[in-house]
Amino acid sequence: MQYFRSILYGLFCLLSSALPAQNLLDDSRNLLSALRTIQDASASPEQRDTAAQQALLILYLYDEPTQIEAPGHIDTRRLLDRINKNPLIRGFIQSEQDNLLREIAPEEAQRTSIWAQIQTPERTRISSLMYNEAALSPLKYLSVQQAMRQSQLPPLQNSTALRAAADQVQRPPSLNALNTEAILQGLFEFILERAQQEVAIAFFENLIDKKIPKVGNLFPNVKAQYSNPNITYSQSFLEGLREAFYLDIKNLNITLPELMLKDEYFGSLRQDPVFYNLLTVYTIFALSHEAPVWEVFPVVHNDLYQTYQSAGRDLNDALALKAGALEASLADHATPTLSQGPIQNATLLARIDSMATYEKVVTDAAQFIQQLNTIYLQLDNVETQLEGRISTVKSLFTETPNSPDRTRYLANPLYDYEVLIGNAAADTDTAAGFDLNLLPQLLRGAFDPAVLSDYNTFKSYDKFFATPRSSHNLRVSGLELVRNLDGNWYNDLGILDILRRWQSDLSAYESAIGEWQASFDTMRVDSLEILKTDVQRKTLLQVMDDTRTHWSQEADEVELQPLVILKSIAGGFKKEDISAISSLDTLQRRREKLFQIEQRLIQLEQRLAEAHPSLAMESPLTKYLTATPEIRLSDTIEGQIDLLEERLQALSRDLSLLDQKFAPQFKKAWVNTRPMLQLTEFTSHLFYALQSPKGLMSLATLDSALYEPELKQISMGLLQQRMSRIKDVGVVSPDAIAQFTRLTLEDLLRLQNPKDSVESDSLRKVRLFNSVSLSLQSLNRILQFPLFADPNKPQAFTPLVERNKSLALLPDISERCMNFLYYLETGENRTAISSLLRLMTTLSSQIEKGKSSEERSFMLRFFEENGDFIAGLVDARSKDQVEYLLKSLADPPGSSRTKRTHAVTVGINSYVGVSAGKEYWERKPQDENIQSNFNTLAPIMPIGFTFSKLFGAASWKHPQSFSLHVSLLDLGAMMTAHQASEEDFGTYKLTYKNMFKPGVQLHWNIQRSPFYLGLGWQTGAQFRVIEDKEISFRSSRTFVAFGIDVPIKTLYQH
Amino acid sequence: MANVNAFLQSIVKSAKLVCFEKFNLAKTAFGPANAELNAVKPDMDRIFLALDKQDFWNSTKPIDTDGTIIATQVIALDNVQPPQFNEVAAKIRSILTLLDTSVIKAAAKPLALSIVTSGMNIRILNALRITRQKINIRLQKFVDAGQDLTQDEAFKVMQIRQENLVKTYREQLTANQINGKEEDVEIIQLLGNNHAMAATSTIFKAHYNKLNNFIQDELRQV
Repeated sequence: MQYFRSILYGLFCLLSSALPAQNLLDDSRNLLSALRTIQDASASPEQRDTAAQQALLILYLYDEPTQIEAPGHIDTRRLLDRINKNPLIRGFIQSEQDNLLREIAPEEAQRTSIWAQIQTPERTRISSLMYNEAALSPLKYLSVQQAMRQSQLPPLQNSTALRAAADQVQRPPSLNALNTEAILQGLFEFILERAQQEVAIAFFENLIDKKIPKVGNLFPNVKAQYSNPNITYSQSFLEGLREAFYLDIKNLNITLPELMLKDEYFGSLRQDPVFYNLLTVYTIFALSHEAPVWEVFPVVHNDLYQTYQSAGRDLNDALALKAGALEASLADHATPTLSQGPIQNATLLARIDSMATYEKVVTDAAQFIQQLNTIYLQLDNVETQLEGRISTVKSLFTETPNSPDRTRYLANPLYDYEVLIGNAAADTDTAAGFDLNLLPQLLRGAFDPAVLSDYNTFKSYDKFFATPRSSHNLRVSGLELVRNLDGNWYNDLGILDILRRWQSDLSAYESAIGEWQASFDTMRVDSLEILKTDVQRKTLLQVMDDTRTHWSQEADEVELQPLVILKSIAGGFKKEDISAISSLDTLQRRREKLFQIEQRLIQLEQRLAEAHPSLAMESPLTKYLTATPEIRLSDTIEGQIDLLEERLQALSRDLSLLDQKFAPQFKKAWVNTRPMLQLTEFTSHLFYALQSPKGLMSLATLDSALYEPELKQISMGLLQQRMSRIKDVGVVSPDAIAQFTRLTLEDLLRLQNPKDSVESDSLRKVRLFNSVSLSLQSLNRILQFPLFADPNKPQAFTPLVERNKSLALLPDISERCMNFLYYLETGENRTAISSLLRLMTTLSSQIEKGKSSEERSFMLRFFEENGDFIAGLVDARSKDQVEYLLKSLADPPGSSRTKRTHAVTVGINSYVGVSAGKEYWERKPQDENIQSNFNTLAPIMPIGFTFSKLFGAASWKHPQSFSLHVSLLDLGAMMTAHQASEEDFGTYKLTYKNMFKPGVQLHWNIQRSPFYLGLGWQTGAQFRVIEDKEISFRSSRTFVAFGIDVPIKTLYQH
Repeated sequence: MANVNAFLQSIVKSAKLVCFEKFNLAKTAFGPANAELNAVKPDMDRIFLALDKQDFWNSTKPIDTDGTIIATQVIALDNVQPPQFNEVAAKIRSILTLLDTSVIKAAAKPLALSIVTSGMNIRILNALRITRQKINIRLQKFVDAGQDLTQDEAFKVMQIRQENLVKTYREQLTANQINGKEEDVEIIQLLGNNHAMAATSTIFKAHYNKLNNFIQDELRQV
């Protein structure tokens, strides 16, 4: 038999090492197998011991996600307590197994070897990325990945085409003066084209000199290469600019998150949860096509955690600053004089009101510590009294069995006041190592010298003063300490957890002492119990009197007469005492009598309640029956711990109020991190569980496990154990998590298809799309699956979006984000820019609600105005495309609608139409004054500036647009002719000099058409010919005009 | 060292400012003969004079008063506007009563009436409790090794002495009659560790005696 056992043991060890735990299912199988071995009566103690160690380490792996290296020590009791709270796993661990596991203490060598099997390098990588403090930030991670890929500019079809296009901008076409028609047409084209070219030059100057420097973070290459104000628009200008823009756009996925983290751009927006989530989603997507998705989530999680911590520090810093400033202002307040008026009073009182909020936190903290100290003193007292009781009993009896072992109950390193006040915490950096007793003084920013002098050790001196500390530092430390009070205090336990466990063990110790004493001191114990029955009898007599008073309000005397007899029966225990043969018999007889009296009282009260239901509530008998029959020494502490919990809740509430009042923005920035922190941690754990050295587990393997009820339960239990360590997540639905795991694994496996060595562009796009969409789906699944237990409805599960409303917009945001990154990566820059713009503008307007940052608005405007041009320039592949792009700098056709739809517009405008009016000519040859008035009908083609306003946009049914046009030139003026008085004014001459006719016009812009109707006046020199000699004279014209609106460039619109 | 009562002092200053301002406004409204206002004036002068003295605020002990209650009353007085000026005297009186009982009298209250065991004394009690646990553990180990010190007459005397000393020491620490220092915590912890590591009963008894003497010395200093 022994031989057989040895073989079995050897086989178990072999299997354990040959089939190392690799993923969730392997872990589950090995755990099941180990638990069976522990219970197997035929297994040798060594086999059971090894199996117990393996089971323990697997459970520990899932219970302590932050543990990366082999654990130095395992607190088996605590681990098993936590595992027993997991409804899916606890059924697998019977009491015998539980006991063995609790007793086991794996040796270091065994720990290391088993740990190496289950914590594979792939898992270590994920855990390290998640929890290592020195982990790479996403930006650095991304930059490293990006730097490895050379950004290459796609070639243009013909680079000389670009130069030609640039030449076009510099050199206007020459005029052909020989042909009048050509001159007219040429002049008109010249004016328009020249205007467009000037607009193009002005655009570049404005873009490069004024706009780019303000958004230089996004366009570092353009800024660096074109920052010279004396830049010449040479032939290679456009080509160089295109290259610089190309590089900058390719790097937008890096530069944009950096920009989002800058306070002047998005500092205030980071306080908005929606926007914060966008940042995270963006980072996840940006990373997900550069690195494996199972590494992306841990990296982002770690970064979020660092952000969370730094946001917490910022919040404390802001609170401490404000408190310090308020205190200083109140302390500096000179002795009041009556000359100070109500305004000063109001300011002062407002400051006092603010300071009172801070003081409330200080008071709460002081009360919390006082209550904590009270509880400790009671624990200390009870323990001392119990020791005293043991000593007394031992002194009374010569032969006593061994008293209960105090070390078994109370010699726990947790049960130490130094632990409670934070002096034993392994990490003392968080609050500079100050103990809780100093908390009120820390919050006030100064130590009390009397208290300080009590800390008369070098250790404390160095702790307090090794580095200089200001009042501000002390306040920050105090606030950090306050914030940690309801968190993990020591070994992942909170203060309340430690106290409850301590009280429970003390209570168990008291019970053990009672049992120990009863085992030999029967006489004494019985006497005490007999005495108690007498107390209870007297209490019952009082209850009967009270019952009579209570019911006599409605019941008559006859109904209450049973009480007379019952009271008489309860008068004593004479009969019971006489009949008893021993003290134990006395006790039993007395208890029986009391029980019978109680039963009859209950029956009587039921009768009375049926007859008089209005008095049934809160009767004296009910109170007697519901009262705690007996309270032991240690039990009194329970209520004190509840009170401490209330104090802690009050402190948290008041601290939250203070955050809200002193630093609401910092508070929001801090709180907003939490949902995404949960989300990324959740996903990372899932990826961790599915990892193995050979890659992901196969779908068939997972399916086989999910169809095997026992394996499904334990594997989902292990997963739940790991998830349950995520703060505020709680219980996860096993069915939903199984479904979630399967869907995610399916996606992940699709991504793992081997890459071709030479991958076509379309294949690369498909892969990219899959990669990014997997991230999107994973995120959306977690958000929308009913995964998490609803604290308000037992057995009900809700999705994360319902638990946290700020996440509701996330699915939409993430989709937009994905579009942007996808198009950016596939080189469809124009679409990418417009996706980005849609994303940013929508979010900005949705989030801002009237609050905007100047820098951000500028950036959004910049993209609105120039995004298409920049992206188009980068995308351009031919001369025609570049030319079209340059022409597009002028307003596109149909722009005449702008002034009919916008409240105010200003622009360069031309009109083509016909005018009818009165012309006035005046010539003064040789002191003669010749005048002529005549009617004219002439074409009109003015060019100048137009100011337009839309009237009644909000109130009128049909709003109307009017413009004031100040013209500088009028091509139509060249055509003005007058045949009547050629002697005085000569003959018509077609000359471009006649077009210089400054004037002013008032237009009615006819809605839903490009036409206008206007009144105008213009003046200027008129050139004509007398006897082949050119003469000039003054002319002016008043006219009515009708024509077509031809906008050249809109300079401003609102 | 910042004034530990700075917040309370600033409230008192504001109270004075607001009380006098409203008092003067009410007096202008009702005339100099208003009996209610005249009655409250001597108390105003007396209380604010007492509170103006810097010596009053120089104490290092915090005054155990919820300043926010006074601040609330001051704010209520500040909000009183002309038609309700008849409320001024009553509101001033209410503030003066609060200042008298919650500040002046609270500051004068002897410490003995509000005993809260100091944090350092609790640390000593804790160290003592753990040391006594260690002593018991070591004693049990001696028993397991066949050496029951509780049957040793000399040790019995030491034990009875320690029981009495510890009882008194605990009482005096709890009542703050001893002003414990961190060094005491370290000494008791050290002695506890020494007991736990004592290889022989002789060494153990020597440490036991040292603990007794230490407690005795502490009690003598009271």
